[in-house]
Amino acid sequence: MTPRRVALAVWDFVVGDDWRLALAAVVAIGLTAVVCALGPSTWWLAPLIALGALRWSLRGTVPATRPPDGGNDPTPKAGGHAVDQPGVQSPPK
Amino acid sequence: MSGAELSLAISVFLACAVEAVEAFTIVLAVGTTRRWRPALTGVGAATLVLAVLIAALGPALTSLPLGVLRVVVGGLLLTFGLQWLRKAILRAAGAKAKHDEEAIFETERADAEAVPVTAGFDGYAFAISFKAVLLEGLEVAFIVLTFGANQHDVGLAAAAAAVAIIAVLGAGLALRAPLARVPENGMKFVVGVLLTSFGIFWGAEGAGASWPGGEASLAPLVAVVALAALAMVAEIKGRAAAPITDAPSKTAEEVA
Repeated sequence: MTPRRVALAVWDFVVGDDWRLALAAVVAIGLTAVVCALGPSTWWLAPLIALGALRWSLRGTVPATRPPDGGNDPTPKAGGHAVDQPGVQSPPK
Repeated sequence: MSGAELSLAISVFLACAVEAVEAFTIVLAVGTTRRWRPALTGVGAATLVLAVLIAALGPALTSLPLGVLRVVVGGLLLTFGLQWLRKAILRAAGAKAKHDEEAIFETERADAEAVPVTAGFDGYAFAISFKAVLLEGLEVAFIVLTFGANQHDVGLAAAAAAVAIIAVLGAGLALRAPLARVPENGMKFVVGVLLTSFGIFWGAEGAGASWPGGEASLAPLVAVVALAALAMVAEIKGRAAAPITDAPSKTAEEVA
């Protein structure tokens, strides 16, 4: 196994499907450290950023049971598929 | 046993039980289709590798200063927990296929049958079992190490993991079938909530934040994370019935 493959395996193991969640974790703890160093104890900041990032990562996701071409509208449209990858969106409402 | 120790034991037990169920299904498929001896040798070899990993990294992690340890471990747990929770939310909302141990068993059995059994040592059975236990076990080792190091009790974390493995093995050997009745998807959801909560708690504490009430704030934090996750499940489910406008949707490439 090459070092590149090992690095990719470690990346996949820790970071997983959505690298933006890993970034959010770093930002949540980093920003907490910065603000706490300035004075106030911002214990609420990390949960706020973490849960906000999770919600953002799941935006637009639809269940698999939804008809791919648009629920109650007979007009064929793109999108609407169930996803297990980040960033795939249903049509905006 | 303190509240923190109990939380540690429950988190490790649940995470380990889930991973053990997954590994057991693959080993069972390989063992029943091919030969048990090489399959079990693979299990033993992978277990040995994992034990060495925990024994080597455990003391190294616990020797770090507490503040550094909590930032590093909290960050890793939060990253890992958010990914785990994201998948659990998608499964609970019906946007991702749920884990089906019987289906996985049949797939693994078909794969094992497709490869001819040669005379002598069965390398296929060994390799598949080794890989399954090692890959599933790495997640367990990660959780045992991070939780154990943070609480300065790797022994308790390892004991909770061992109890989970024994419980799963006992149930599996008694049934001689995939443990399809274990509420695996629900357990993954709970583990995702716990990993995320502990990651937030330790990460913020290591970064210098003081939680109101100290460790007592862990329980409300777990409740908040659980409720938020359940709300996200409901939100995704709610989109199934929502009407769609004529505006075109975005693809993954357009959004990324």
